[in-house]
Amino acid sequence: MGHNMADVVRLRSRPCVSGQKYIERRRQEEQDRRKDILAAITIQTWLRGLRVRAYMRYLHDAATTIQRHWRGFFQRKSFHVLLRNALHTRNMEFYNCKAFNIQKIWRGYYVRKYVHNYYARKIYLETLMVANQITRIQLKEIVGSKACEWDRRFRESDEQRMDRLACRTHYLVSTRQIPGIYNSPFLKEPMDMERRLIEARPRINAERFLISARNSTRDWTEMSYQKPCSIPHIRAKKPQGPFLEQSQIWRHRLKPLEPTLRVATSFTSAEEAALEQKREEWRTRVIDDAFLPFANHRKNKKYEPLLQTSCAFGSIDYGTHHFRDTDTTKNISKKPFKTITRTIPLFEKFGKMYC
Amino acid sequence: MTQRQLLQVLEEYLKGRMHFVQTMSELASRGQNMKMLKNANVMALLQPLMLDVDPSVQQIATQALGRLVGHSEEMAKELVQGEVLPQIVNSLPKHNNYYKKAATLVLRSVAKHSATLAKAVVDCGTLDSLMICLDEFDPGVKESAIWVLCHVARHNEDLAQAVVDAGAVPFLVLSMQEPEIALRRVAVSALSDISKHSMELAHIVAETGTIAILAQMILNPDTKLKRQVFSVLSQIGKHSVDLAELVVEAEVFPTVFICLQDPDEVVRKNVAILVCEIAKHTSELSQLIVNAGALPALVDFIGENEGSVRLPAVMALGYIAAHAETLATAVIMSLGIPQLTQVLSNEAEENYVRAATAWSLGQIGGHSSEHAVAVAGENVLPKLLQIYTSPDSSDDFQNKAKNALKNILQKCVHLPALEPLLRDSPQNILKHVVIQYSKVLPHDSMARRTFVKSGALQRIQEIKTAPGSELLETHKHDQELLS
Repeated sequence: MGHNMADVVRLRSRPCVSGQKYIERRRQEEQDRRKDILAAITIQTWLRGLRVRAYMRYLHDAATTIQRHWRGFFQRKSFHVLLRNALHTRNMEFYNCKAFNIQKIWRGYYVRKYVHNYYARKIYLETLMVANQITRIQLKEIVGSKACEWDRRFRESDEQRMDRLACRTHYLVSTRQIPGIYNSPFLKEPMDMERRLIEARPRINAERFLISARNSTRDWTEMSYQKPCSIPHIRAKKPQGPFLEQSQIWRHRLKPLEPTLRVATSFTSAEEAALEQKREEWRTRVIDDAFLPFANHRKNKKYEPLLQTSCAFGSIDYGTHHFRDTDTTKNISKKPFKTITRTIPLFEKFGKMYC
Repeated sequence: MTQRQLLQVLEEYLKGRMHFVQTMSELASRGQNMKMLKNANVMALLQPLMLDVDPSVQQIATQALGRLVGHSEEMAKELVQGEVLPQIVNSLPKHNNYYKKAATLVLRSVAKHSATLAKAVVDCGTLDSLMICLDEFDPGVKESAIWVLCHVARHNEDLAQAVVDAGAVPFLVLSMQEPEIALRRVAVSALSDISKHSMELAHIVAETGTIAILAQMILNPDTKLKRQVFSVLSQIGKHSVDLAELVVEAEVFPTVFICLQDPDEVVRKNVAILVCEIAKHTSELSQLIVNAGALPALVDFIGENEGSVRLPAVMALGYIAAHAETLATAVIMSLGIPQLTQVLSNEAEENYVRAATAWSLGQIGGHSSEHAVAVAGENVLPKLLQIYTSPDSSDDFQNKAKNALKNILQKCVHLPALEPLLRDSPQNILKHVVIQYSKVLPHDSMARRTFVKSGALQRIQEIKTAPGSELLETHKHDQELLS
């Protein structure tokens, strides 16, 4: 407390203030000053702290509010995105599930139908077995019918072979005096070969030729000069006189027919030739009139009657033959045709003049 | 000397020559006279007579030479060296039919021995003269000419190509349709010899519409013609898939199975070869054949025939089964396996047939476990093992048996079938068997019980194995499983 005049004045004006108490009071104040200062400082620090804290709190609140609002705004924004993504993934999962289902069903179907169709395979194998049975039966039938034919052919060829053998060995046939080897007295009836021997007939050369031609596994070059098969001798008489050589005989026999001209011409050849000549002459003839000889020329002249005498007497009807008959109804137009081009005078003279 | 005497001498000379060539011709037709004739140097005598004045002497001399040469190759070589062939070939178009036949006989006899001789024949310009012969009307001449072509084309591809280049194929196709049987036979056999060498030649033969004509000839009653027809079809079909398809499109298939029961053996064999060659290519073709009913026909064929005739049928079954698993099942269901096992056990002489059967069985059983079970059911596996281990089977046979065993074993999970194999098999087979056991046993307790009971466990424990081998490891694995 400063000592001012104003203070002194104010102090003097106060009624109850005495000097002593005033000095004691001042002394007390001096002594309490430190305590007061400390107290004041304490109060002030507390107050300041309070103020600052309040300020801080205020700031904090402000910041929190701002942040709160900002966070809310921001999160709401990203929440939308998040929500959209989440929705998207959920949708996709849903679709995927369904797609998996479809694909699963399709793959199962496709594999079962096209890649490895168990039932088709089963049916195929069963039908194949049935078809095999049918094929077996059919083959058996066909082969059965063919077997008859093959058998028949085999038997036929066998028969033919036996017949040929019989032909070649026909001398083994049994006679009344001597029974042949196939006609044993101990058998009830003669063997089959005996029958064949009896029925065997000599074959002519032409037949032999044909038979061996049919059996054409042999070479055709063997056909030309064939050696004859040896005819077994009948031991009755010795052969007469000197014969010609075998090869000569066969050459004679096999010689092709070369008829003489007299034999080769037919009986009616003269008439045919005459007819032929006539026909040729008629064909090549240009003039049909008989060419009369010059000798009795005047006598042989043929009489040519006049045209007038050879027609009917009298004149013909007027208008039929003398004048041209014109029927104008059939004309295209009533007027006669006009020539468009002029005739060429030079060509008019053709044939009429000497140049 | 008067005219008459001169003529008489000439006539006697002619008679002498005629007699000589006729006798030579007769003698030459028999094989046992060959040596005599060769020693007597008859060839040198006959060669100038071939150019004789008198046509009948010429012709018979040529015929005799043809027969001589037909019997031995050295005479053929002599003939070629004597340079007579070009003269024969040149005079071929000029003379009459008998001479043509005799001359073609000579050419044919020369060409049939070997490829070099055939080439020599072709080099003389034979093919052009033969084309002229083919124009003739007489079927005998045509037949002889085609026979020459047949023998020439038989040896190798170049010669066959030369024949085709000469323009023979259209003639052959026309001759096939003539009424004479011999001509048809020989034409078809010529086509067969041409088409057997390569794909291009087979194509050339096939594209002239031949296959349709051949398909109509299948049911012809003549045996030799049928032999040749089937031989051509199989030669054409064997080269490529397209050609095989062409053959199948000609609708030969169900009809062909009728001829599988023809009385003639060669026809049956050729039909089986045809089926085999066509089934070999792709699974679609095999499927086609099976749908046409091949399986019962083939199985019956195997049952009824003997020996090497069965070989193509067995191989056909193998090829069919090899292509697809469905077809293998079809083979099994058509009772193919009992027939095949019968072949395997009964076939006494022909080991290659048994080898083919082993291969086929391997193909059938190798697809899946059901197939392996079906194959193993007929007691096949011990037989195969026996073949593999027996010392007197050939290498090829052993190989095939081993491969078949391996194929079947890799899929077989039927333990009772595997059991007999535990006893005597060698190491490599045993390995597979034990592997199969180790596959089945972990999952099936019944099997384990039977395994232990039947003494198979004992057997496995008895196996002396080399250390570090796979067998040892599988062995250990098994033991672990069981304990």
